[in-house]
Parts: sequence; C-alpha cells; structure tokens
Amino acid sequence: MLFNSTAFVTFFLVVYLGYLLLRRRLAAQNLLLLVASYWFYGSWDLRFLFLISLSTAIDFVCGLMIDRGHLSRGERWKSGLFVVLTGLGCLVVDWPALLAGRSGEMLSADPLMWRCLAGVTAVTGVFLLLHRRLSALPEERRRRLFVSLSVISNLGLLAVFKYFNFFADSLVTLLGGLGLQLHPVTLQVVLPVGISFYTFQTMSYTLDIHRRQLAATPSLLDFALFVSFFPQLVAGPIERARNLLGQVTAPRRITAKAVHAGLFLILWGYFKKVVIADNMALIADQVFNGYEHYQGLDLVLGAIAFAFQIYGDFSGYSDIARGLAKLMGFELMVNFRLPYFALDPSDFWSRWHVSLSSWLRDYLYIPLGGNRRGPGRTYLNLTLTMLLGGLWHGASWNFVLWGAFHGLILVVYRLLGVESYHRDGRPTARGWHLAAKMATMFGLTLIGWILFRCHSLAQVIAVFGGLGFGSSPESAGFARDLLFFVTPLLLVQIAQQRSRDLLVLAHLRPGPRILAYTAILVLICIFGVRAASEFIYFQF
Amino acid sequence: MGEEARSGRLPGGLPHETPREVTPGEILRLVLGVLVLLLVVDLLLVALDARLPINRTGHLLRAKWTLLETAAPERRVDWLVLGDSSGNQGVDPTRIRELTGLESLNLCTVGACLAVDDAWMLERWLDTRPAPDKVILIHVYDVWRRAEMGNSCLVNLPLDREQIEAARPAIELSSGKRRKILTFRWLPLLMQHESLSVMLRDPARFAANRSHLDELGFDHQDRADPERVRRNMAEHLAENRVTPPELSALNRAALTRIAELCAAREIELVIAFAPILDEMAELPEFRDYLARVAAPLETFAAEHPKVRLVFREPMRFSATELETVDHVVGAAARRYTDELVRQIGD
Repeated sequence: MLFNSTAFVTFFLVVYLGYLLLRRRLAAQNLLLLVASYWFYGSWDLRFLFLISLSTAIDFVCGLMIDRGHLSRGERWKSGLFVVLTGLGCLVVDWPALLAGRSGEMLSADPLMWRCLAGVTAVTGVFLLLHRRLSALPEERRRRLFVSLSVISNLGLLAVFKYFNFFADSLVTLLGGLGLQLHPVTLQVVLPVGISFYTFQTMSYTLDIHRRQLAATPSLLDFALFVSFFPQLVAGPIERARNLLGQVTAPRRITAKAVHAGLFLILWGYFKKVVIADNMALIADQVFNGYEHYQGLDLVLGAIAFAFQIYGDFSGYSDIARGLAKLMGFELMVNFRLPYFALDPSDFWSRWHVSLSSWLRDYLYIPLGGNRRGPGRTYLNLTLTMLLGGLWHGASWNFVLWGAFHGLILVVYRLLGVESYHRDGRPTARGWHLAAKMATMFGLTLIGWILFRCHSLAQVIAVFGGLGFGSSPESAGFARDLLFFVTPLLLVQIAQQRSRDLLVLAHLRPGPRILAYTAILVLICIFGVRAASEFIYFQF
Repeated sequence: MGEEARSGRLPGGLPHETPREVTPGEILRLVLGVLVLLLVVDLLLVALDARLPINRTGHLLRAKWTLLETAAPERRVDWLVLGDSSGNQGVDPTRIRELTGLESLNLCTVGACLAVDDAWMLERWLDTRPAPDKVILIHVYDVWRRAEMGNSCLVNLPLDREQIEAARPAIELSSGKRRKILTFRWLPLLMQHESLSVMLRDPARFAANRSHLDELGFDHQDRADPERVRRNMAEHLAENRVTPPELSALNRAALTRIAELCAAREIELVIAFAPILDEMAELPEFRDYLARVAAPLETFAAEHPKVRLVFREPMRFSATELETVDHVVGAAARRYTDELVRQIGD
C-alpha cells in the first residue's frame, strides 16, 4: 500500500476517523494503530508480517531481560503466544481459502512454512523453560548475552533476507578469480520491504537499554506499535525508542499547531514525490537505463535528474510520514534539512537521511572510538561507518562504492581542514565563495549518486567516461524539464534556507499561504504522475 | 558525520521546523480558502476549454461538428468523407477538387468514436442538407474490432446526454461513463492533466500537436516522427497478438445504419482502409491479421448493393512520411488522396 495510492488515502481516512473516535482511550488507540500498521505492512506480503513480529518479540524479551533480568509470567506467555500466533496466522494459514470456506486448503502445503513455525515454537518453549536460569545469570553477563542476542538476531534477519545472496555470489566470484570453482548457493528469498528500517529501529531500543539510557517497556502492545508504526515503518525516519516509545506510552494531544504543520508536510511531501521525483525519474531512468546511447551533457542531466528524483522521493516520503504522524499527535524526527545546500560532506550528512546518519554515529562511529583516538583512527572510523552506511542501502557493490566515496570525501575535507561554519552556525564563506562551496559539494554528491544509480562496474565506467558538455537533440528537452520541475522546488527551498525554517510557507500571511498551497495542489493535479510508483527507499 | 551533529547540538546553520500557533478556525479557513481557489482555477480551465480545447481530440471533435453544424443548409457536397483521424489528415478535399472538380468535405474525427460517430454525423447532415453522391468511410484496420466508444471520444463529443442517447445506433451510457463525461467536462484540472501538462511545459509542442484544419476539414500535419512510428508499430503488433480481428457488434450496427441512410437516398458508400506503414504491411503476421479484418467488411459490402470496399491492399508509406503507423503527413496526404480518387474512379 503506497502513500501515493487511493487505497492508502482511504485506509488512512478510516484509521484516522477511528483514532479520533477513540480519543482519551490510549490503549484502544494504540491497539487500533497496531492493527492498522500490521494491515498496512501485511498488504505487501503476509509472510513479512511474521518477520516483524519475530523481531518485535525478540527485542521485547531482550529489552526486559537486559533491564530487569526477568519477565513476569504474563509477559512470558504474551510474548510467546504473540510470536507463535502471528507465525500461525502469517505462515501457515491460507486466508483466502479460509475466508472462501475451502476447508481442505486452509493450511499451507509449503513444508518450509511449517518448519519455520515449528522452529519458532521450539525456541519459544526453550526460552520459557530456561527463563529462570537465564534470570539467575550475573547481571553483566545477562545484559551482554541479551544485547548480543538482540543484535545478532536483527543482523541475522538482515543477513538472511538481504545480504546472503550478495555475499555468497561475491565469495564464489572471488574464489573463482583465485582458480577455485564453487557452486553458488543462493536463497530464493524476497526482500521484505523496509527490513533495514525496522531492524535498526528495534536494535536502537535494546542498545539504549543496555547503555542504561532507557527503561524497557513492560507493554508488548506499546512496543509492537513502536516497531511497526505505519507512517514510518517502511522508509523511516528510523526512530529512536527514546523519542517514539515515550509518545506511544503517554497520552497524546492533537493540537491545531501540529495539524497545521502536518497538513503542510503532507502537501509538500506529495509534491516532492509525484511532481519532482516521478517526473525526474522519467529522465533519470531513460538516461541510466539506456546509458550506452547517451554521452556528454545528457549523462550530466541524467545524474542531476536522479539527484532530485531520489531527494524528492525519499524526503517526500519522510514529509508525508511526519505529517501523518503529526495529525495523530506524534512527533517524528526531521529526516532532511535541505541537503543540496550543504557546504561540505560533514554538513551533507547533517542534512541527508538524518535518522540513519545519526544512528550510525551513535551506534557505530562513536563506539568505534569516533574522533577520540587520533586522526588516523578517526579516518578509519569514518570510512568504516560510511562503508557500512552504503551497505545498509542494499546488497550490491555500487552501494559499497557509494559509501566508500562518501567516506573518502569526508576524510579528504578533514585532511584539508575545511571549516564551513563558525561556532555560532554562520557559514565561514559569503557570496560567490559560499555558492562555489555549495556547488562543489553538489558536484561531489552527483558523483556519489552516479555510483549509487549504476547497476554494474561497466556502467559506472561508461557513465563517468561519457560525462561532458556535448549535447544531443534530447539535451534541450531534458534541460527544459529539469528546469521546469526543479525551479519551484528550489524557490521554496531557498526561502527555507534563508529563513532557516522548513515550515516557512506555513508562516505566510493567510492570503499568500492560501495562494501558495493552492499553487502546490494545482501543480500536483497537473504534473503529478498518477500511476502510483514505489518509493525508492522501500527496497532498503 | 557532522561535528555538530556528533555533539548532539543542532548548529545554527541548519534549517529547523518552527510550527506556528494557529487556531482550529484558521485551519478551517485555510482549507476552505484552498478549496475555493481550486474551484476557481478549475472553472477558469472549463472556460478556457470552451474557447480553446485543451486536448487534441477535443479540438478535432468540436471543430468537425462545428463544421457540420455551420455548413449552409443549401450546401451540397459530392463526396462526404467520414472516419477517423487517419482520414482527417489523409484526405484533402482541395486535392479532390483539383483532380475531379468535385466538392467534398472531410468530417473525419477520431478512432475512439468508432463508426458510430460517422453514422450520427451522416444522419445529421442528411437531416438538414442535400445528400451527397458518395460517402467515403476511412478507418484504420484496428478501429473495426473495437467494441465500445472510447472515453476520449465520449467526453469530448459536443453533444449532450439526451442527444447521445437519442442517436442511432444507440449506445448505452453506463453510470460510470456518465460520471466520466461529467468529471472530464467539469474537472479539467483533474481529468485533462496530461494535455494541460504539455500545454504548460512545452507550449511549442502543444501548438504543433493541435489540428490545423482548413475550411474543408483537412488537417494539415507536416511533422513526420519515424521514432514514434516504430514505437507505434510495436504497440500495434503487440495488441494484434492478443485481440482477435473481428467486426465488433457496435461497428456492425453503425455500418448497417450508415448503409441504410445511404440506401434511402441512393448514395454510394465507399469503405476504405487507412494508409499504413510499409514495414508493418510487409509482415506476414500483419497481412494475415488484416485479411481477417477485411473479410467481414467484404461480406458486408457484398450484401449491400451500393457499398464497396477500396484499398483492400492498404496504401503503404515509409516512416519518414508518417506521424504514427497510419497518419500521413505532408506530401504523403496528397498521394493518398490521389490514390483514393483513382480507386473510387475505378
């Protein structure tokens, strides 16, 4: 169910109406949101829902075992039943057959599904049996054991569903290069949407508890909603339990201020998705999919189009997610802060996919030592963090290259001692110097996007080799469409950057605000691509 | 990784969100204000559409019906040319006059109207004006198999619901189709977005893509598009593989109605195949398909004494003379007209 589909709009309106009717009844609201979130996620593939419930149950148990050292009888049974019942419902029950009354076909004939269910039931049983002995472990040992279990199980899910084939293929290729022939073993698995987002989100919960920065929640319902909250489930922002879980457990107030900001974010998010991203995709796809036929300026324009496509797509999703959450009284973190206005790589990562970059900072870069162990180690930590950040995006070498490239430019800027801001946040450069720094960083970002968008090394070489300023008969059309669509976006963003306020349009006086909102809606009506296309970041 | 971000402090250089204090009333006024303004924009587009139809199909349909309705009551033509857009830009009445001295009028519209619109136009003409000697019906081979009038025709026809429902052959207007007609006419912002998009993004292309009709209804197009022609050929072949070649019930009813009208006034009815891309016409799979489309038309012609089929072998053109596989441009229209005159003369 895509945000840019009528099915989602209908779904949200129904859920929102129910949500408003249940105001002042927090538990009922949370239950409604959990059911809605599972419905939303299960609409992709019901089997995916089992993964999310498995991740939820494991981290719920781990959180309590790290924090408190034991689970009450009710908590044990609730979490055990939760994972077994969702396994039953998502893996082995054939719902269409059940609803159609075909009793002979209501259970899956796939033995793998039964084995998964049996495995999960067995592990649950073992845990229930061992609970007392695990509770009796020395505190530090128990805390280490369960935080490791949480991290390993989440990374294990990612490893199996996202990275297994990539590493298996890469190993076979590597050994093949050394003269050793191996038969590749690959798994026939479908990548569950948003798996990287929710696994990172749940990991942050147990890691924070382990760091004693957060108390574990005793409510499975609240925790399950924190993991699966539908506005941000499949493409972020990757929320921290410290922020979102507190909002799940405490009564929420829907204020006019939040609704007003939320409506703007939804409107602006849809504009970025269906007007900017989807139209830029027409150029970027044409150029990158047929890169053998393009040269010079066309490739440059294709790369610029992709830069705006991915920005519009991802930041548009984030805006819609945050806007929807605001309508329900939730406050999700800002995920994009005008990244193409960045002056250096460090600045870029303070503005692009902030929820991921800050996650990597807090749970990877700083634990690795950050910048506290001398320049050499800092460079290594930066490179490693960016490499893994690249790999987070997908099981492909182009993402690794993209991460490595960003690691490299972060290191180079540090080596050059480039300082783009004073301590008070003012840029160190002004006028043309400032514009040149911004343009340089945008150029570097484009290089990164080419690595990100290409599907093979041969394509990377061909695209970089072909870049230039020679035009073709199609160049004028590409340039015209780029200018046409990007200009309104940039005009608003310049106003946002100058005012340092992302909600600058919401601050206009009523008349101009109505005009501006209407103009955005008219642009969406006329230029919005109607065929609901997937958001790029769903695949991550 | 940003230093400031690492230290957890949001630097002053980064933009942030500052929600403003508002009242529920202010939000309501904002929403209502936007809705009213959207309605105003939409109504302006309705007015614009009435003066300058936003899309090419609308422009063509209205222009041809206007040509029909505004022709002087005593105006007599020798040949009345009906059909789809291939005839619209393929048959030049001025050239017919040069070759034969005969008067003709080109009332061809679009394929989405099937032969139904032809029957309606002919009836309207015969109700108010002298009968022509010949009615020439030009259609692309794939129009004959279409079972329903396309939405692009229905929504752009300058006829109201009563007129459509009273016309023969009668067509059934489902509630869905009626809703579509209403929304298309009254919500251009939502329904005519593709045409509006081209109009605003690329006015030159929009202007070039419009019909350039002369006073006799011939649409002068002179921009060949070989790339589009080849894409269009692939689309045709793909569609032919999944759609059986037949004469649809609605087209048969329309054809029967046209034949009745012609027979009642001693008019000769000439059915002609549209021009076609040479590369496609040479393909055995296409030739086979075309033969199966032509068969029921030949039978129909054989059953009606004053009906005949010309261009049994469609006239072929190269991609550089076409806009799509069946739309000729420039001098190719003249050649097609010449051949049409020759075949009718034969």
